Amino acid sequence: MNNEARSALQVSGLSKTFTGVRVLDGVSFDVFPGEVHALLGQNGSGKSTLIKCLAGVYRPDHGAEISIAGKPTRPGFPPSGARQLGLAFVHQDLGLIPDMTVAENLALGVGFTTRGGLISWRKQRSLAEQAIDIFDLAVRPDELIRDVPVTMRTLLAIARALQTRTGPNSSELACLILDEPTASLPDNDADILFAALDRVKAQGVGIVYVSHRLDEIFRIADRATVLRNGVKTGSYDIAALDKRALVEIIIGQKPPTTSSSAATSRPSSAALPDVLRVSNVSGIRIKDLSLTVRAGEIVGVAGLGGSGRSELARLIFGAQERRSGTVQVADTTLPAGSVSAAVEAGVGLVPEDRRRDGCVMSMTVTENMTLVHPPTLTSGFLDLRREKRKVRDSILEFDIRPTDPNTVIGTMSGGNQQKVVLAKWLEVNPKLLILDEPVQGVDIGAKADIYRSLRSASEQGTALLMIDSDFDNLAELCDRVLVIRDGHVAEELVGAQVTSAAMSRATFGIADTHSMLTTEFDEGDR
Amino acid sequence: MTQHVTDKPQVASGPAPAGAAIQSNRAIAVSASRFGLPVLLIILIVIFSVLAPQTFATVTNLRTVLSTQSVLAVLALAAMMTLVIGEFDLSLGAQMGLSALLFPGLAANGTLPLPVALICAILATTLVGLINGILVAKLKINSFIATIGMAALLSAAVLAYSGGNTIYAGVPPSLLSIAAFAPLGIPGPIIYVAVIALVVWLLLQRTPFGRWMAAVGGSRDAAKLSGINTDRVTVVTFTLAGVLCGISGVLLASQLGSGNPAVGPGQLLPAFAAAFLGATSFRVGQFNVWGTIFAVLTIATGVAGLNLLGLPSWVEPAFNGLALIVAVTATRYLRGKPL
Repeated sequence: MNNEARSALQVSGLSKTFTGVRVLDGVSFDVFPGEVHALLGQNGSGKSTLIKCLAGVYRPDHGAEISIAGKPTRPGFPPSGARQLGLAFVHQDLGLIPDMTVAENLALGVGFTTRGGLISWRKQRSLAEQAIDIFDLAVRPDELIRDVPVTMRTLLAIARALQTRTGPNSSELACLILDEPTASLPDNDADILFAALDRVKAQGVGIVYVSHRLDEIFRIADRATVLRNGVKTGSYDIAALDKRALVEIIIGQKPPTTSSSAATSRPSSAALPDVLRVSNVSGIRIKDLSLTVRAGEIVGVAGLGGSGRSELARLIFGAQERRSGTVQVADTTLPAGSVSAAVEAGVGLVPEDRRRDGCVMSMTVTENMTLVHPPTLTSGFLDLRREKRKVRDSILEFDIRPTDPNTVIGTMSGGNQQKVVLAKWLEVNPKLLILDEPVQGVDIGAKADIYRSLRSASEQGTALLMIDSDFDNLAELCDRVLVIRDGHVAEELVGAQVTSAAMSRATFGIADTHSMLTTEFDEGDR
Repeated sequence: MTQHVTDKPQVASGPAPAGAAIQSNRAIAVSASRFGLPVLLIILIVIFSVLAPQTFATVTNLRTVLSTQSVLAVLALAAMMTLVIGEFDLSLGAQMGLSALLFPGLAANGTLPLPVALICAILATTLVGLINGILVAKLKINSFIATIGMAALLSAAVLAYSGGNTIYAGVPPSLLSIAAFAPLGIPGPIIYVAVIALVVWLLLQRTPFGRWMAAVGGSRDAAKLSGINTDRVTVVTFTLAGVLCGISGVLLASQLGSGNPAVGPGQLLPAFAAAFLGATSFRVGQFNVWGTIFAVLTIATGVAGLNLLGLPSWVEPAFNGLALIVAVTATRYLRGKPL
């Protein structure tokens, strides 16, 4: 291939292993100058790791080769080295400082120009104006970033990445890597970004474009490289594909999940009353969302990163103020933004970030486990004896190790910490338990224990709403799965439809004809 | 390939063997530290008793040390309570100063009966504590900044009220009876401190509210997501600290028999030194009542002994400053995380 000599970025044999787990396995791809190259894959396919390897945040395993503009580099360069080699990154959070001006933020990229040790603001302002002119942006150099609209900020971040670093060893920008650049943009502003990217392409810069939004890929990308479980499935010309074909490449052929039969064999909870009724709730990403969960039902929430999955949990639980809509638990209407009221009404939340939100790391197993309602005597003092008994029972029931109730929870493994968080809520017999990534970073044994506890809780009538980015987990446990797209429930999968392949298709907005048929069949059967 | 890979491998893997080694070293340090303060206290007592048997090892000296330190002990408990919820109250000293001035001031010349003046003095600092709590919890002002501002305001109030002069004219002599009260020869201040320490200990260790305080200090987010009203816990804790400051001020005034506008702020640092030093003992790595009390006694014994040996007066602040820095460093290490 004669393309190789002039590739903007060429990666070959890139692997990355974390404590024995191979997250990336021999990935090779190349990006031509002036092309938009999409990097696609499901949650956990290894995209983020790949980008962090390119940025120098992670050091790739031995044997990886990365060439930039035809020049081989030594993989394992520090993060500060990437730009000098000709790579620039615009991450999802943009890396702009809200309380600094446009000129100052741009200078953070290209460096400050000094005269006699002091910053030359005149020079700095004119550099900023040059950057602003790249995209004809309607901002002044001395405006604060916080006063600049979101779309403009994204373009400023890109402009900053384009500005050549003024240094003796610096290279021209060869390749720009954009990680989910439209994730925070208003829908109609994507066009502004794409117009800007066309100008970048015209300069002969290669663009790596990471996005979950396939419509964008078809509008802007020339080629796509797809990762699945850390392995590259191939690089494809976008013009030769349609959306459905691309989704099948991204998901791959997964064997049908056997455990969904376990879900269908469960007694139908159709006769049981609704425990949770969410009507027309809106937050930041969530728009006008409604759903219901019945007593004893396990309902999954599937969605891509940034679809508002976790926000939904916070909105229901009152940890985030909702803009509109109502949340009803049993007969209680929950006030917006009050966790205490939600807990009082019988709602629990197992949060996504266990270390920050789930456990109080400095407290013991006992103290964490009884935090919601510490057992008290009539005098108002703690009933230490009853507490001890309860905690010992829970430790046995959940198989928590070490078994000492006075262990400080921060010293325990993630799986055992998660069991404590779960025990804490199940101990108060909640009407509704919301689980956000309940088995993330948990080993297989602990995962099985957690699932067993969840099933038994649901048999006792607790309604479970479970959010998980790993759709296999949802398929294993859930009676019903709601697919969140564009901030609302776009699809609902029931019974035999609850497969991870069906969820993946639905999150990308591809109708699953096979499942559609089964829906009709199911309806007729009832 | 069924193995699924998370988006955040660095979280999943965690700090493996190196972390475990640090953990076990720390575990040894923690168990060694548990009774460090009582042991240190005994060592100091033995050393000074040998070096100064005529002056140090006397019942009078014991009474003096215990009585004068009662003021600091109560103030240190106030500091400890706010530290438990992860906040700093830098107005503690000024609050004590306010109470120590108001009590004799209000009682002077029979303006108010003594018990009423006492209650008013404590109510004043309670109100200050409440305001501190509201500033921190509701207006989301960093406690460091809010309380340093409050301390300055209180100093101004003290100056305005006293005109910078000590209030002694017309102060009823019965004021002194509060500190002089000594059933069975046990000085009253010792009894007051013992009762207050027990109440604070019960609150922290035996009530749900104490658990909530520890949870708020450990992780405000986790506490909130467990249904705890973290704002209320913060406000109530600052208010209770205000009550304790008021009591310590009343104790001080009843020992002095007058209102001195200069006292108060100088006691802030020793109070924090004691609270931090206390966290290195008993419930190691956690701010706790008995550790705080023993820290007050240990520092006081050290300072008293050195004074009796004829060392100059700069020894005391040096001792306090050193104790604070050493204690904070040790507590940080024993907790395994920054404070």
